[in-house]
Amino acid sequence: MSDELYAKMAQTVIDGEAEEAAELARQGLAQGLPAADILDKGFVKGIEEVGDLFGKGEFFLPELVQGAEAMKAAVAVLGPELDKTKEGRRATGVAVAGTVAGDIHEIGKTIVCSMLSAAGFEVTDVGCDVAVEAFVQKVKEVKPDLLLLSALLTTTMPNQQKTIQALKHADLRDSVKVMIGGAPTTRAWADEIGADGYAEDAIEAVAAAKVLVGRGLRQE
Amino acid sequence: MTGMFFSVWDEKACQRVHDATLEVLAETGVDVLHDEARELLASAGARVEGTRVRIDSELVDEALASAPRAFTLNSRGGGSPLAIRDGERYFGTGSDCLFHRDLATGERRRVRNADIEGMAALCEKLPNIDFVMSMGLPDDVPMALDDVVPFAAMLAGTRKPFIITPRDGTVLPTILEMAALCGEANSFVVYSMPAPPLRHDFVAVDKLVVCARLGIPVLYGPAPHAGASAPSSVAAVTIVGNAEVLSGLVINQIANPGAPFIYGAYVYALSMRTSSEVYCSPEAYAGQFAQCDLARFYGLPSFGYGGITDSKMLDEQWSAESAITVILSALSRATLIHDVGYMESGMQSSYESIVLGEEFIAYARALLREVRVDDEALALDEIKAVGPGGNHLARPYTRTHHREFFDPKFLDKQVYDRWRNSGALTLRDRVHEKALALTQEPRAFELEPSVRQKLFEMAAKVRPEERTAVSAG
Repeated sequence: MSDELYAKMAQTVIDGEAEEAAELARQGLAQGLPAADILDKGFVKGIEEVGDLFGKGEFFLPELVQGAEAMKAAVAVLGPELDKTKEGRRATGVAVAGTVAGDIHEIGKTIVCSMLSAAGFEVTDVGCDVAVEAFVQKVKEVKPDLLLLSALLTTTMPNQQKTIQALKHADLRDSVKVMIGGAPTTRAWADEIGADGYAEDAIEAVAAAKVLVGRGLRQE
Repeated sequence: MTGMFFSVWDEKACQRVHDATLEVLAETGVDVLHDEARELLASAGARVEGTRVRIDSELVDEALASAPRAFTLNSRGGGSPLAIRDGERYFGTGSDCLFHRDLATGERRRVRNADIEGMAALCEKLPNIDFVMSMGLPDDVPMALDDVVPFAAMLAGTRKPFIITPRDGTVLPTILEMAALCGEANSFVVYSMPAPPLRHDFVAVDKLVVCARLGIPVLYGPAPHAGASAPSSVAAVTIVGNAEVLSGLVINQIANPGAPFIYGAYVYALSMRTSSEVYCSPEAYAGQFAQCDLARFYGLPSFGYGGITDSKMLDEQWSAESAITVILSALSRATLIHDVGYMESGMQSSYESIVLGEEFIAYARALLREVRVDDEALALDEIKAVGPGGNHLARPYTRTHHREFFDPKFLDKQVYDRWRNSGALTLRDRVHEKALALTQEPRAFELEPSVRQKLFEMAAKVRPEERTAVSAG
């Protein structure tokens, strides 16, 4: 009986149905199923399937992003119950992401956030045009494993550097790995400003993020 | 107004898209992240709420009525001015690539300011390149100067008109002075790009306002991406882009009615497989056709792109995409067609890709030339005089007119043995050799050393505060 429900849960993620996913998560809890089982045997199976289909070229970004949204909707319902268990939420990692000050381009950053969520990261998206101090404040508050700084404009790239410097001044630099990205950024720029990671696109960003939090294979 | 072009939307379709755009502007509105522009819009009758501005059709009509249908863009000595109006077709390079394919080594490396000057000097020699853009964002110039120092390099390389991408509006008086020092202030267009969907960021708007006040032609070119910053439909992307252009036009024309303005918009698509940006696609050109139809519907000069490839190297994809996109962009009848020479989705430039692109432009121009039916073209006297079984080779008419036919420099037309005996070269070999020769031979134009020095001095003085902030930081 519950197997059938788990399969339905997985399917909501594959279909990208966020409301349906939340509803099934509530049903599962109401039937007394453990939150961790609902997650692992239901929704996680779905997101794994989405990842496989993407890898095979059968799914595209929208399916991936909408799968992640469904997953997030389910986790929002399950969260309080998961927190009560011994293991708590077992995210791949905790990430804070935003577009730096002066820059309102955020589609690339939003895609990265979705892909990280799909890969099991707990992601706080702080939006765009984020002041240096606001990033510092958020790192203090959320204590993430990863901070992702996006810039689309060459004029705002220096604010990636300034944010990293501000983390140093606040004695927070060692507590968090910093990744940077955005069309005009390069690995050389990442090295120059002392970022820990860099990725050219969203797919590479997930792989790099996993490496930085010790959950992935180091490349090169 | 001669020659062929490809159109996808008739008057009725354009009207429907225009009405849809007006609905978006009036109901949803656009975000204008520029205080002064919002005040201007409010005093002109737009409905302002926070940063959101809703614009009614009367304001759009007024802006469309006051924007000039035609204006000229001068060279700084040398060539004739460009008549910027519907029906004309000009080609030029693109801006701000991060990487450059080194002509000597073939290595992909960061762009240097010398590359920007070198590519401009190359364009000076290429008759089918009508205007020039930077083709690079130099790595060897302080970030705070990476618009104005390349501008000095461009001025040193060519007298052809420019489209430039300054970082902000404040630098424009200096840029005007620099152009004037080289003989002509009215020799560039400023390119400004909002942040889709439906958002005008501060810098984009500032350029619209400052250009209007200084009388500098501005090109407003939104780049909504299907599936990311606009719905996945060519028509819908066009509506989002159109809403951004028209609201940008309203801001520009309120700031100075009659200011020269160019309609620019693209249909980009995010690759749903790789999340990378796709420049060359059938949808991009279906969109370019649609947008040029809209620009004509409004009577505004338009903007397109061609001579580009998403390929990373000088391979088969490079030559195929550069040919296809030159022809398609020419068929769209965009007034200004830029990005000739772009590789790697706009990330990389090369001398070879500009040289090859220019060959295809000559091809497109020959293709789209009007097929005349006047007495001279019909040549009835010639047909009768030579008669059956005769030979036209010895006729003066042939000698006078044969040069009007396209004469390829790189597309090989030799017989087999001659091709083999001349080295059995590939297209890529031939283009590379020509690019190398063009850069090694003396320049077609040299700026006076004292002017050159003055330009770089002027450029070096821009934005001192930002420079110290960055280097101290």
